[in-house]
Amino acid sequence: MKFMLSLIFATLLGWAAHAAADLDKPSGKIVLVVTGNINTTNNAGAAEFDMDMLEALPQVERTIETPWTSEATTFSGPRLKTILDAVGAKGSGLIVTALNDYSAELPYEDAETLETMLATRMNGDLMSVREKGPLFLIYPFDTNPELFNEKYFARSVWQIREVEVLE
Amino acid sequence: MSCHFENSRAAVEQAARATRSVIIVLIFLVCAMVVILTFLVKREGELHDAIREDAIWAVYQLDRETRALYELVHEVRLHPDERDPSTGELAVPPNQVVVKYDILYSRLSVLANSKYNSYFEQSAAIKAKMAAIRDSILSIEPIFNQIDAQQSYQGIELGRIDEVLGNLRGATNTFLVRTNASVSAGRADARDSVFRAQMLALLFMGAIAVAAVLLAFNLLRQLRLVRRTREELSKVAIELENAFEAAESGNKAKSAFMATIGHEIRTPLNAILGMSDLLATSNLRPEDAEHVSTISTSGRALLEMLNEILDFAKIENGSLHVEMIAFSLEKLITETVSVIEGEARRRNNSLLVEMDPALQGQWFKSDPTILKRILLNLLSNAVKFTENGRVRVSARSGTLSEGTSGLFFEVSDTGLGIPEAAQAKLFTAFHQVDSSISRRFGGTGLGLAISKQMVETLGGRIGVSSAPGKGSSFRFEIPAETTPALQDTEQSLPAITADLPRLQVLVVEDNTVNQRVAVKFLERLGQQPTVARSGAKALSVLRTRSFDLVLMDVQMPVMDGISATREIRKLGGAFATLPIIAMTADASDRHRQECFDAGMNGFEAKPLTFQRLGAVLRDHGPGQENQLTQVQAEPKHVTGADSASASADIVDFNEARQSELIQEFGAPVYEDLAVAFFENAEELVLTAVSASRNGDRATYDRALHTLRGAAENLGFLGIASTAHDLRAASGTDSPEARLRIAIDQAKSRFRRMAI
Repeated sequence: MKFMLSLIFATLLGWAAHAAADLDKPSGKIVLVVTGNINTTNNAGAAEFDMDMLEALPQVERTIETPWTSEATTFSGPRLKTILDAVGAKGSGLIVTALNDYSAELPYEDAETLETMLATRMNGDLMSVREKGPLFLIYPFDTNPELFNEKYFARSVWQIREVEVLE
Repeated sequence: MSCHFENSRAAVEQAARATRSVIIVLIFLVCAMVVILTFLVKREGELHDAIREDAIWAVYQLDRETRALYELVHEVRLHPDERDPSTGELAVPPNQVVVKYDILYSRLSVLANSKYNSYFEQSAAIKAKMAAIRDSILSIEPIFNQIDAQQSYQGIELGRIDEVLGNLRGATNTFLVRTNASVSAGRADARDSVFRAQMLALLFMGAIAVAAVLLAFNLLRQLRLVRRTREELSKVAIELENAFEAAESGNKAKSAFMATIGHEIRTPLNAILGMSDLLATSNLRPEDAEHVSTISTSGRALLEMLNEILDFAKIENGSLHVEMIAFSLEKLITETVSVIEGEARRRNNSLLVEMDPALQGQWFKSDPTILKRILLNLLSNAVKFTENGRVRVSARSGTLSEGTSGLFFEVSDTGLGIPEAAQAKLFTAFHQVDSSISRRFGGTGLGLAISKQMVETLGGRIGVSSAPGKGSSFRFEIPAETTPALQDTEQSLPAITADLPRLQVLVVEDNTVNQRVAVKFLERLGQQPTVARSGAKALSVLRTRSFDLVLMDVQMPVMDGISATREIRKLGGAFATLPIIAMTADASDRHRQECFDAGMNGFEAKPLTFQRLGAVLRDHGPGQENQLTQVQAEPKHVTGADSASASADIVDFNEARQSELIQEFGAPVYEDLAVAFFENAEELVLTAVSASRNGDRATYDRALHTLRGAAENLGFLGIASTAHDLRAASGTDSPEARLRIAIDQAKSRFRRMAI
């Protein structure tokens, strides 16, 4: 239900974005920059988001175990797909880059078919950089246990600052 | 061959054992294999987690972030106030330094909080290093908090953090190298143990393969052996079958031989008996008389034994045929007991019949002749071994163990009894309890074997319980269904006489015994018989009185039945239709035709039974003329002897006939008749002998014919057949001897059986 709602929201939002071909300017501190093959921007070919903008998007939540946490942890935030739709992204792959320049390349399907989430909150609280914040790419290890391996651990980027959409 | 077969069987067993062993080894190997594979899978799972690799990565990141921060701080320390010329901002913004610290800090938490922990803490040295690194990172936290707060490097102890980070750089480097070494070693160890397990698995797989091949080979061998054994087995089976057939045919041949030889022995034995009896009648010294008596007694005992052996041979031969017919149980028991009554009385035994009242008037289906023989055997045994005691026969109906209905008989006595040890062998052939018995009581010891065979032939069982000195009790059961009384063949007296007309019957018969039997029968049937001794007498009687029916003997002196009939028919009038029934021992078709040609209305084989006589009266009484043709067309209805006639070659006595007579007249009358017959027979023998000497063929023939008819009438089949044989064989050497032997045998039989 929640998933369906998100989809509808995302579609509406995407449509709205396309119609406007523009995105609101962030008012707070910029936490995410989406670049590459997108058609909805708010700053010189890039789409910049502050935390409020991200949290205004439809949210999802899942409680999972990860190799980086000692117990089951609840993450919440928008779906990666929701953000990509919001910026009218179209591509075959994504490069997700962290504050320390760590980056991972993932196929676009990871956003399309998997319910990957760009988590903004851990156990209900915003995440500081010290706590692997502000953004953390969370794969659905609970509903798709086959993802629980190094391949997806490496794609689970934290301290994200930028997402580049590859053509 | 059987040795061969044994070998094969042993080989098959050996192969089977080998197969079992191989299978056990195989099972063990497979179990071991499962254990190894489980271990491998588990190891594989551990490798899958790949925490080690992640750990190295985490430590490497820590080291990298430490260096990055150190370089940044070092830059700031060297040029704390350098600014970007275009923006006027600080060349290294304080914000950037703080984020770098935060990233380093987050690395620390990854090491501290994550699942790698368990791995790191395995090594004390690594654990200590990690603690040191954490401490030094945390020690500089306040300084970075201060930078974050004031967003400038004013009054910041950059020298101190530069120094701490410089040292930290060395520590994380060492940590990285150590971790890498430890992880490599662990990986190598793990790989090694997996490799060893794999080698072990390979080894076991090889062993399993070898065992499987061995198993297959062994199974093939076993299969081959089993096939060979089976072939041998079937060969043995065929051999056994052949052997059995040989033995069986041998046994049959033996029985046939015994039956034949028995007959051959019986003839001279009869001669010995006859002659010794003749001798006994002559004037002998007392001493000689005793010798002759011994010859006679021994001869009779021998004859009795011979008869039993012949019976047994007949059973073994398989020529005992069961004829399932309806019979009245009450009548059967009464008849059987009446046979043994005389002997029981002689031995001062009381004879008791206990029949379940429910059985009275009940009819059953089985073979009454065989059943009677069994009962008679058991009864005569009981009487034989009991003196001044009690012999009891009881019968009841019930359900056999097979669930079918049957009859249960018990013959018990208060006689000698049988020791337990001897009871098991009691029913085996040629066995007597001990040899003194045969000396004391005689007999072959075949009686019970014969009884058992007969019971089993009827589908039943026989058993005994006995205690020495207390008597014996023989029980047997046979399957027998109740059945409605057969009115056609056997009828109770009231049934037969019920609708009979009272007729004036003329019996034309020259022989006194036959006359008496016919008269008795007719009287029992409520008729008024008149006797004419010859055809001529009959004619004269017919002229004076009117009769409803004539029973005409065919062969008579003066005027035979055929001529008499012609004469009667010539009289015309009522005589033309007067029913005349032929009574003759000659049942040939030619003879029958002669009778009908002469104008007779019916034809009955001698001896006429009570039942048949009733039927004749009913069929040929007044107003029954329409029945004539039917009767004519009907072949002889009941032969002289019933089922017993089948065994007439062995049995010289028709028990059924005797029983019939006893039942209808009572035992005393039968005894009278028998005595009269023996007297009559004596005369006839003398007549025949003198006729033979004078060459008077007709008289000779007629005397023998009369003898035959009378003998048949009383059931003395031995005499009848001897007379018949003598008639056929002209100029026989010693007719007198043969006749006397036969008569003598009949007498002894009569004495023994009787009453």
